[in-house]
Amino acid sequence: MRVELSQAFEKMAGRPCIEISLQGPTPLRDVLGLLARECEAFTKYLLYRDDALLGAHLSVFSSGKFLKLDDPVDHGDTLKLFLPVTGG
Amino acid sequence: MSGYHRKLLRVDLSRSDVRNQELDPEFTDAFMGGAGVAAKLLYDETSPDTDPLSPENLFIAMTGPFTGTKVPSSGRHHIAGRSPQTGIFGEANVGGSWGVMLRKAGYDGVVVTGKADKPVYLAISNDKVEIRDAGEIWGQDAEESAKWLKSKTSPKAASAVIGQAGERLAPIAGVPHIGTLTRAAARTGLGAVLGSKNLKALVAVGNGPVPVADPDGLEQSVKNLLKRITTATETFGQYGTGGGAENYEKAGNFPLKNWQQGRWEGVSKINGVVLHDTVLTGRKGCWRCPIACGRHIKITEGPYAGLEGAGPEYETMGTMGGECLVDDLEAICKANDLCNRYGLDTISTGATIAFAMEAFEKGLITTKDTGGVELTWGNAQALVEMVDKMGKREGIGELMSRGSKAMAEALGHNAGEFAVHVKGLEPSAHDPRRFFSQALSYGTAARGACHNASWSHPYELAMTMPEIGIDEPQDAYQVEGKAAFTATLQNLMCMQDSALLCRFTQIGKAVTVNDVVEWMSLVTGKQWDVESLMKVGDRVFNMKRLYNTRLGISRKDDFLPPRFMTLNREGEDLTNQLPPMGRLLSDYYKHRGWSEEGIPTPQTLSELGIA
Ligand code: SF4
Repeated sequence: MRVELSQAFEKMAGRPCIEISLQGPTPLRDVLGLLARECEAFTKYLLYRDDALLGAHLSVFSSGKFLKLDDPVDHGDTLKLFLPVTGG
Repeated sequence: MSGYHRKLLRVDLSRSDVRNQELDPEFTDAFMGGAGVAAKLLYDETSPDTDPLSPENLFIAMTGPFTGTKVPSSGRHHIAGRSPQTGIFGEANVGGSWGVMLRKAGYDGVVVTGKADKPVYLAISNDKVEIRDAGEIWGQDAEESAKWLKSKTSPKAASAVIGQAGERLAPIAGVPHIGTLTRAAARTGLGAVLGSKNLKALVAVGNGPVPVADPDGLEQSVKNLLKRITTATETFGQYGTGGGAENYEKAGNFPLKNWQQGRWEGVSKINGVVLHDTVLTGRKGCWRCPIACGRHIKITEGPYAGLEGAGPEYETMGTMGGECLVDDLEAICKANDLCNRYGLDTISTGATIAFAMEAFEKGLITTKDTGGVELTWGNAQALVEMVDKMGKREGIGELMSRGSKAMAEALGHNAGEFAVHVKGLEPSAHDPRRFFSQALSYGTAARGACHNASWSHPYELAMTMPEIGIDEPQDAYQVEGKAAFTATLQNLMCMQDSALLCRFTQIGKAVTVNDVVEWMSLVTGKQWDVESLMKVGDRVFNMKRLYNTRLGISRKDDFLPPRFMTLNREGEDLTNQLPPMGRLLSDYYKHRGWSEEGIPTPQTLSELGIA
C-alpha cells in the first residue's frame, strides 16, 4: 500500500510518499506503527491511542473517507495524510 | 459570588455622560457574562423599532468571569448590538488583550448608547474614564489609529478601533482590536454601529487585580493542565487555523467558486503550511494563550513587499482564496491586511467578492460597474482592488460593502439564487453539504450563517466530549440525532462565549468540560457542575433566539440559500449531500422546545427562567 504525504508530512519524512507492504487487512492503528518503522518522525503519532487525540494532529483519508484507528487498510489502498482541524 | 467586579461602564455619547452601574448577581447567575449578559442587555434595552445605526442602538462589549484570569486562552470578550448587516442579533467574539485591559481597569463590560456630535474616543484607564476628541484620526485606518491612541494613552493600551469602513457605515464593517496583537471582532457589522455613534475607538488600559475566589487553586489547576494543552494543540499552534485547509478541501468542506466547485488544486498554494514556510515571521497569541495560533507575517518581495502584520486565518483563505479561486497567498495576505486596516469582515468581504465574480461572469455587472476591473475567477489583483474599493466605499465598493444579500437585491434578476447567506450573513468556509450539523448551525445561529455557533464539524470528523454525551464523532450525514448533537454543541459554545474561553482549547481534548467546571468553581467560588454550565448555554442560546423572534424571525428564515439546497458539487472522491433542512429543522425545534415555526414556547422559556 501507498501513503501519500501532504506538505507538512512530506517535509517531515523527506519524501512525498512511503510504500508499506501489508499481508492483509490491517487496522489503521497498526499501519501507523508500520509507518513509524519506515520513518521515525511518525513515532509521535503512536502516542495518540484514540481517534479524538490523533485527530488533533493527523487526518488519514482514503477512497473518499476519513479513517478511524480501527478501520482496516488493505494492500492496494492509498492513504493520504493531512493536517487536521482548521478554522474558527 | 466572586469572578466579577460587578461594574458596568455606561456611556451615553449624546449627553457626554459616563457612569458606573452595578452588575446584578442574579443577572450573572443566569447569563454568566460575555455573550449571555450582552444578549440579555440588548433584549431588555432595545425594541423592534431600534434602528441599528440610530443613537438608541447599543454597542456592548462584555467580558466573562474567565477574562484576564489565569485560565488559559481566556483573553477574550464578546461584542453585541443590533446588526446593520442583518437587522437582527449582531455579535462577534474576539481575543487579544482588550478585554483583559478592561478587566484590569476594574470593569466587566461597557455599554455605549447615543451619538457624539463629533468624532471621539473613549479612554478607560483604571477608574478614570474620559470621552476625548478623535478628530485627528477620523479618516485613518485602524492600525495607524491604534498607534496614535497608544501615544495618547499608554504603550500598554489596547484599542477596539474602527477603520474607514466603520466610519462610512459599511454594513460589513467589523471592529479591529489592536493591543499585543491584531484581532478582529469582524462579523455582523458592529463597526458601523460605532461609526454611527461617531465613536472611533474604545481604548482600555489597567493594572488592577481581576477577581478570582481561589487564585491559588486556579493557578495549580491550570499548571497541571498546561502540558496537556500544549501537547494537544502543538500541530494547530504550529500551522495556525489554516494548517488543515488541504484536509478540508479533501473532505469537501472548503468553499470553491462561490460554493459551486468540488475540487481545486489551488488549495495547495494558499494554506497554513505554505504560509508557515514562506511569509510567517512569528506566532502570536491572545493574552495568556499557550496555543498562539495567530500569525505574524512579512512580505519582502514582489508587488506586496513591505507588508508586515497579522496574517490571514483559515476563514480568509477559504473566502478570499477558495471562493474566489485566488491561489496567490501573498495577494490574500494583502487583502487581509487591507481588511484589518479599513476594518472590514474578511469573511463577508471575500464572500461578497466571490458573489460579484459570479455576477460578472453572468453579465449582471460589467467593467463599467467595476471601474474597469476584470472581476474574473482567480484574478488576485482584482481581489485586492475590490477590497480597497469596499473599504473606501468607492464606486461599486459602496454596494459591495453592504454584503451579498443587499448586493443581490440591488442587482435583481436571478442574483438572489447565487447570493449565499443566511439571514443576510455570509457563511464561513465550511460547507453544510459536507457536515449536516453545519447546515443546522448555519440555519439556526442567532447571527446568521455562523459555524462558530456550534463549532460542530470537528465533532463529526474526530472529536469527542463524553461529559456532554458525545462519546463518538457523529456521522456527518446522520439525520437521526443531529438536532440534539448540534443543539448540545451550540449550548456548549454559548456557555464558553459567556465564560470567555477560546473554542480551540477543545482540540485534542486539551480542555474538557470537566476542566471548565473546575475553573468556573475556582473563579466564582460557587460550585458548578456540567449540567448547570450547559443550562447557562441553553439559556443564552434561547435568549438570542428570543431577541430575533421578537423581530419576526421564524422557520422561514432558518433555511439555507438555494446553492446549498439544490446544487450538488462534483469531483473525485467528493462526499456531498444536500441537507434535508425541513426534517432537520423540525427535529431541532422539537428538541429545543420550540414551536414548529421555530419560536421558543412559553414553557421552554419558563423552564430556562427567561419568561
Ligand atoms: S487559540 Fe488562537 S484565537 Fe484562541 S485564544 Fe489562543 S491565540 Fe487566541
